[in-house]
Amino acid sequence: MSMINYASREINCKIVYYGTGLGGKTTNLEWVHSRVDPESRGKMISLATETDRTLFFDFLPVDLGSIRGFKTRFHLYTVPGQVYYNASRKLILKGVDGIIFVADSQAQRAEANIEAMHNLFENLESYGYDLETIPFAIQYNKRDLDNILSVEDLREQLNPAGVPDFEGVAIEGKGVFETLRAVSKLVVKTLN
Amino acid sequence: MTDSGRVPEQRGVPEASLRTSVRDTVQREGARVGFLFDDSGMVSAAGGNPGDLEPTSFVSLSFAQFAAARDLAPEATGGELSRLAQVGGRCRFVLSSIFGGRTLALLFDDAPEALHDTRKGGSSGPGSYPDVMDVDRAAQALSEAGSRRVEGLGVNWSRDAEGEIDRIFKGED
Ligand SMILES: Nc1nc2c(ncn2[C@@H]2O[C@H](COP(=O)(O)OP(=O)(O)OP(=O)(O)O)[C@@H](O)[C@H]2O)c(=O)[nH]1
Ligand SMILES: [Mg+2]
Repeated sequence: MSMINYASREINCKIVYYGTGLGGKTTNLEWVHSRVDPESRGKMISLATETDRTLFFDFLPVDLGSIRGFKTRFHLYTVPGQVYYNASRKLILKGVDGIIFVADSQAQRAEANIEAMHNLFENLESYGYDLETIPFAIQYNKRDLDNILSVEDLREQLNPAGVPDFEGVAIEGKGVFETLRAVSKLVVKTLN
Repeated sequence: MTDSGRVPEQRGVPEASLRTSVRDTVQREGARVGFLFDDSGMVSAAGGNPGDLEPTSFVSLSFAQFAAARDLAPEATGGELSRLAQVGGRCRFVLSSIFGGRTLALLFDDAPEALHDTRKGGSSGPGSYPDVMDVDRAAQALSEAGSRRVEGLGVNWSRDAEGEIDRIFKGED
């Protein structure tokens, strides 16, 4: 999965934001883009509809610089959450090194979250990937809104395996870097 | 690997010849730049001079474009898509399927008049497709040799990487 190119001494890791439509995946990436030192990041690409729904993906490359002689780079992708864009979601998952599942904490989105989680497992399975071995974290987003489920309830619904999970308010940047750091560190650990 | 803090040096011949084949193809076909990327959108070899082109953006968009067109193709043509070309006023851009789910993206700086002059340009003058056989063969050889990573980078490497992650992904939470 992670590409280590020994000859050119480059390492490329792919982290994918997954989750239900309007859950806040693009918002997470926009926050990262706005706060990471411009020296360290490339251009953010968003293939989106006029109403800002992700159509194909958002993409942001981030350079970690040279680590022990290896130029190390993270490729951050979001998938489109809308149910009918599954072909794109599946394609983006190819070769994934780490996954951040962005859940929408609002009670009325509970079913949509569960459906998105099932969809993630299905798509990974179709590639023969195993979520138990892929670095994985969950962000319960939109904690600023009313009518949200408790973290305990969300955990019960979405995180039976007890992977690292975080509360988020992505529009204010809360939990954004915390979640990204957690998954990124798990990813680099898989390379040693 | 053991935790000596050193990282392995070389991956061997097939990888090198894949890179060479990409560089040679870029040169022979007269392209400005070429990128070979795999089916996850990651670049495995490059050639030419990107100039002010941002390689990662270029590759991720090529990846999206080819993937979308390929998914569309069976419905539109009943066949498989192996080439995709886009011609603009000042440049031309050709995507070719390569063995093992890879794609070679070649970008040409063709002057507008060259588009109508079939005598110009090498084997890939406008109107014909670049010859990517060498890259295809090299990719096949690499797959046969087994391209899986054999050694890790060591705990010192990942510890340093974690430090960089803390530094770059700081930001208030
Ligand atoms: N109140 C609140 N709104 C948020 C939060 N995060 C995102 N939003 C809003 O939710 C809407 C959808 O956010 P996006 O980031 O576009 O959602 P997405 O997951 O990328 O959606 P798709 O691209 O359709 O899959 C936008 O209007 C965001 O401003 C949050 O933490 N709190
Ligand atoms: Mg989006």
